[in-house]
Amino acid sequence: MSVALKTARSRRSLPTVLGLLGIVVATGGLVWGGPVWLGFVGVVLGGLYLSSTPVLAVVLGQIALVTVDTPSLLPLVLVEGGLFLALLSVTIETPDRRVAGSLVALVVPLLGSLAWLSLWRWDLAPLSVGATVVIGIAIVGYLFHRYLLIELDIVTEDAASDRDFL
Amino acid sequence: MRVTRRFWLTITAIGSLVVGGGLLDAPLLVVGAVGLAGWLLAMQFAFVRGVSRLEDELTVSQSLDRSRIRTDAETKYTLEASVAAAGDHLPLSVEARIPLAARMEAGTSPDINLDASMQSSSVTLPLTWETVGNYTVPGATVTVSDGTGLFTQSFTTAPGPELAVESPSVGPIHVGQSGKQLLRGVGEHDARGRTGGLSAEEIRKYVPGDALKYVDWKATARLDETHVRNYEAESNRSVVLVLDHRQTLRDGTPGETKLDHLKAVAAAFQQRAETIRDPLGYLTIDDAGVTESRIPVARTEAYRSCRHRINDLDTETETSATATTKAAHTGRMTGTVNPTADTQSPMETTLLAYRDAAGSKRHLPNQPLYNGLQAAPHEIRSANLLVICTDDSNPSELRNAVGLARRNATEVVVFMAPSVAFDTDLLTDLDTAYERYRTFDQFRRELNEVDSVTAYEVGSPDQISAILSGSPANTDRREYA
Repeated sequence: MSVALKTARSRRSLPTVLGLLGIVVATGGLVWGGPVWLGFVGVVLGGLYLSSTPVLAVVLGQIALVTVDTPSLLPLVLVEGGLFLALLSVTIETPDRRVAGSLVALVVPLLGSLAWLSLWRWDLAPLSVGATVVIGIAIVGYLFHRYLLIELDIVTEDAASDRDFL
Repeated sequence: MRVTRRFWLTITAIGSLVVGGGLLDAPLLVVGAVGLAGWLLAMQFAFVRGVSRLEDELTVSQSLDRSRIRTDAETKYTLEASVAAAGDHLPLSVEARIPLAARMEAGTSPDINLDASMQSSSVTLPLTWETVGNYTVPGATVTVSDGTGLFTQSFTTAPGPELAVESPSVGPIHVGQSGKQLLRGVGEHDARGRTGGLSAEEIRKYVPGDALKYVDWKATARLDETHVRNYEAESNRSVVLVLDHRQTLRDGTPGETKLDHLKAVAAAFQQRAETIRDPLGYLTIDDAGVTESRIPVARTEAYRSCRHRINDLDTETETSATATTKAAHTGRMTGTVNPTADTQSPMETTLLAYRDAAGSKRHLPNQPLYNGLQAAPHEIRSANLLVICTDDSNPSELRNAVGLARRNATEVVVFMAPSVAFDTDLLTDLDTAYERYRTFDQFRRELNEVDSVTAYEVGSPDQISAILSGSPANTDRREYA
């Protein structure tokens, strides 16, 4: 009984440790590349992460990164990598952690790299790049939604007859 | 798939980053937005995969500890959910929907929550059923959520068990003759009837005494030894229940009246007929005449209709449309159809005189049971077995009714509730009660002696025993003791 409890506790603490490590790394990157007061931002990021809002922590970290004028590559990698670890730690909490973790580890860097290339190599407008990627992801998300409804026999493949579930 | 507030919060954050990146010309914000959007998509994919797997691995079962029950009785309802997964699964909750006719105890709820690491769980609660009818417990609703609280999905499982709720029973019933309990089950009958047939049962060796017509010549030729073929009779007997629900049937303590006992007997016949698919019809009669009738048919709706009619039967006088219509057609209610001489028109006088002269159906005053049978010739003529459930309050009427029934149906069974057994002050004078019972039993024997008529007494076993304890033999025994 006690062994099982210990296992469960350690399993729960692993994502937290990973996520906090990510926040620390991101904070280090911010402080390294920018003013010292960004260290306080790190405290806020940690608080947001521990209050189960890692998404807000990522958003705030990204905004904090913008305040740093022309960050060098290493601090940039540290901040992005740290925030990525925070997101990944959330994924590990899900039951299907291997699949979810692999997907996040694959999709997030892939899309991030694509955005990076579009913005800096191909000089596309940030708004159009962001809008295109978000719309594309929304379409794929909707297809997942439809697939699940069909899989559960809630709707048929004939979309016209299932307007209520669209 | 339903999305949660947390999902919309994430979408808002992504949108803000995109717009902010565009307006401030800060590509880093857009990169962050794209990363978050990719994370959201990956989480959605993981959820879809998890739910699809869970649907295959999840088993939800609903059960009741019995399939038939009386109203206001209690059943145990069990909801069980198990996941046949090797590791963790998505957290889920299973919520059952109990039919409105069932009442749950306050504070209980038919739902189960399975955390990611829980493999199975069950809940059992008592349900009390208040309304007569057939019910199916609807399928349970399973709601799955992902660990991060971004998505939920609900789906319904297959419907649960079926339950037939019947009207309350009167407890043990004595059905017998001269105080002796009937050994055969109520409603059981021998295989004989007008529309019966024969089906081959087996071939066996000939033994001396077997009729020559049963020799199976083909089998004899094939086996080189004389063989006979045995047959078994197939029964297909039309049953018509005649249920008397007049005021006199109200005698007895509430819940254990004459009518309650007779309804139980009629319900047994109904169940038996439904089980062996005998055509079933019924005729209900109160003080005003026939209240409802059905010719015998072997259809599910006919059995259901009969069951409901038995359950709903009461001693209140009914004035149904059927009764009125039938009365108008058959002229059985002397008061309404046979106008008095003062109110008769010349034409009515002339026509009624012709009717009387032609010897048309005889309607006896103050004999609704007899007149009711007269008014329903189709029902009783199509009966192979006519079951009359009544009491002994009017012996001459019952004698006439049985005679009429016997002339029309193949076989008549009469279930009589002896009035003496339903007297509330029965135990005050056992000797008188025994004398009354003897009179009743003599009348029952008289009916029983009529060809193809069998008469039984129906009552509470305790009351019958109490009456029989007042018999001279028992009295002597008591005195000697």
